Formats: sequence, structure tokens, C-alpha cells
Amino acid sequence: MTSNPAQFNRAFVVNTIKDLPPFSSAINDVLTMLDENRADMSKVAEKLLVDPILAGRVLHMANSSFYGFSRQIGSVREACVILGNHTVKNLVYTLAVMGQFEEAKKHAENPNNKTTITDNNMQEPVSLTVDYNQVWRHSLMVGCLAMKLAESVKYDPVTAYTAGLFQELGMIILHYFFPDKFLECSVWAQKNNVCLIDAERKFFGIDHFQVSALGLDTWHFPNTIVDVLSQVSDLSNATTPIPYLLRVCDVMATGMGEISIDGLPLMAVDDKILENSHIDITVLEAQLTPGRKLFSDLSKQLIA
Amino acid sequence: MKEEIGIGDALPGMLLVEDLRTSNGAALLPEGTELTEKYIELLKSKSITHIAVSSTHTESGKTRRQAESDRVITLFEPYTDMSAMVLLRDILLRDIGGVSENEHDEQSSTV
Repeated sequence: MTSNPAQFNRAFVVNTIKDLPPFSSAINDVLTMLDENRADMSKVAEKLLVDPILAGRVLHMANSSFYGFSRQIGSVREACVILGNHTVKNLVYTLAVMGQFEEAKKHAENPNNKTTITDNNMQEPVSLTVDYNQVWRHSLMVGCLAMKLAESVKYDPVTAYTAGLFQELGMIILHYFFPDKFLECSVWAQKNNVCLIDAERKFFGIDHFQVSALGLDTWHFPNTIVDVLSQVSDLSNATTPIPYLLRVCDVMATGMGEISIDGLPLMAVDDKILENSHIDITVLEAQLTPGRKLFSDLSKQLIA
Repeated sequence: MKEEIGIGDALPGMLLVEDLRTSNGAALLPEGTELTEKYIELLKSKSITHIAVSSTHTESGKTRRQAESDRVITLFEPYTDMSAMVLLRDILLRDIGGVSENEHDEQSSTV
């Protein structure tokens, strides 16, 4: 395990992330093909079939309520043709990073890698655990709400969903490489009632949204998603309502019971964030149930 | 949310969330039916032992919603001076079908 450097800077994070297991060659081949705007989707399907697990998951997802097709999609080829380049690319990236996540989860579940810390110096001891499934469920709820709300602010729902889905990836990356430091940081946040991103900036010089963006950039994720995540970290650079909307969805997901790490204070939303998200409050209220239904459907397919 | 209850716990006002059929498949009552004393007697006479109802009207549903409301109120407690957070909290409380904070305080003080 890498030790914590004196300066936890961008170059170090990028370098550290390279230690995560790389995408399989089959996934890389598919992504390379999809990088061509006029990729032949039949050939993409043939490449996908080299990795039967990935191909099966693409087919499953194509038939989920996420895409809302009224009839059953029967083959990977049909799924690729109907979904199109942009959507298949997002889907393959999602499933590929989920694969990385599963590797990271196995690492965290190893008893040699402690995931709980107890601070006995406090009047009441603080115990905190990082559960990757719990972090992932929270992210998925953020993504589902963001997708349902994006249409109302005239933004691509798939991009909003994907950005939401990966906005907490940085937490996992930080914990994966620096478990003790991350837990120390989280306990400090809990103890001092400080939101996690402020604590991360203090302990690591960088917050998990930035780490998410860096991680996805390292895996050559589409820039639209990387940019949104960078902007969630620094809302002054936001070029669309989506980074604001994701901050609202983060609070709502926690309020709906999908909590990334138990006991941490909320990342509060002020009037300016709510206003800049362009969300109609009536629409927000009306979309909670559809968001929850989508979450219920996708969590069965994406989270073990 | 769906909850399966024994016929002995059925009360007028509860909503069926599934079509109800006899053991040989004959239709009894459709999904969405609001139970009345008469319907409950009918189900008992047809030897129906369990029914699926909306948890909105069940005791365990109410307890669960109250616990959820309490959790949300505690979670948002540090932000009661931020109007946006109060707005989001109240949306969540309405979504739970719970009670507003004022009602919550009133209920707590009467316990």
C-alpha cells in the first residue's frame, strides 16, 4: 500500500490511480471502436461478445427500465444498434468502471485491510466504516434522481446519470489507496461537523469529486462527464445547471436513506445552489418516486 | 409500499395492492379496492388468510414512516437556518408521508 505523501497533489493522484487494475483488452478494443463517431455498431457488438460477461450485462441493461423500450431486445447486436454509439459508450464505460469497483471491493473486504476506525479520545467513541456497496448505492440514487430531473432542465439525462453515478468514485479511490488517512479524515469530519469535501481538502489537498474526475480522465472517460465532476467540486466553473443539480441530488439521496458513509454531515445546499440547479421544486417532488423505482431496478443489476 | 397482513389485521380503509382471487383463481376483489367491513367479512367467508395492502394504513407502515421522518429531521437539524435545506427536508418529509416538523414536535410533546 502506498504511503501518504507530504503533498497529495494531482500528479500523485493520477500516478496512484494507475495502480488500479486496467480495463481488459476486450473493453479497451470496444472503447477504441466507439471513439470513432461513425463506428459500425454491428462490429462493436461482435467485439463486445469477446467478453461474454460484459456483453450479457449490456443486454440486461438495454432491457432495463433505464432505457424504457416497450419490447424485449433480444441480442447484443440489436442492443448496440438501437442504443447507438453515445449510449453504448457510456454503458461500456459504466460497466468497465464497475468492474474496477468490484476489484476494489474485494480489496476492502480483505480482513487485512481495515475499514473501521474507532476514536476513543472522544467523550463518546466514534466508529466509522467505509462500505463500498453503501457508497455505490448512494451514487446510484444520485444518478437516478439526476437522470429524472435532467430532462426538466433540458440536459442530456444519460450524461447527468453517469456523472451522478461516479461522483463518489473518488471516495473509493481515496479509501482504496489511503485507508487509514481517509478514515481519519472522515472521523475528523464527523467529529467537527464538517462536510466531507472540506475535510478531504484539509487532509489530502483535494476532494473526492476532483479525484473522481481525475480517475475517470485517466480511464479516458468522455470529457463531458469528467468536466461535470470537476465542476461539482468547484461550482464557480459550472457551465450547465448539472453540477448544481448533482449537489441537490446528493442531499436528497442521503435524505432518502441511501447514505454513503454513516454519521457524516450533509453537504449542505444553499439558496444559490438550488436556484442555479434550475430545478422546479414541484418537479423535484414529483420525480422522487420515479427516481426510486429506477434505482430499485438498476441496483439489482449493478450492485451485488 | 406493499405489506402482507393476516386477514385478522385487516381494517376498513386499507387499500388492496394486488388483485385478490380464491384458491381456484376466481376473481374476488381488484387491486385498488378500499376495504370495508363488508369486504373483510366476504374475504373471511372465502377462507382468505392473507392480503397485500398498502402500508400507508398499517401500524407497522406508520411506525416505519415515523422512524424515517425522525431520521430526516435529525439529519437536517444542523441546517434549519438554511431555507434551501428546510425546503428539501420538507419535500422529503412529504415524500415519506410523514409529519411536518411542527407536527412532529407536537406529537413528541404529547408523549
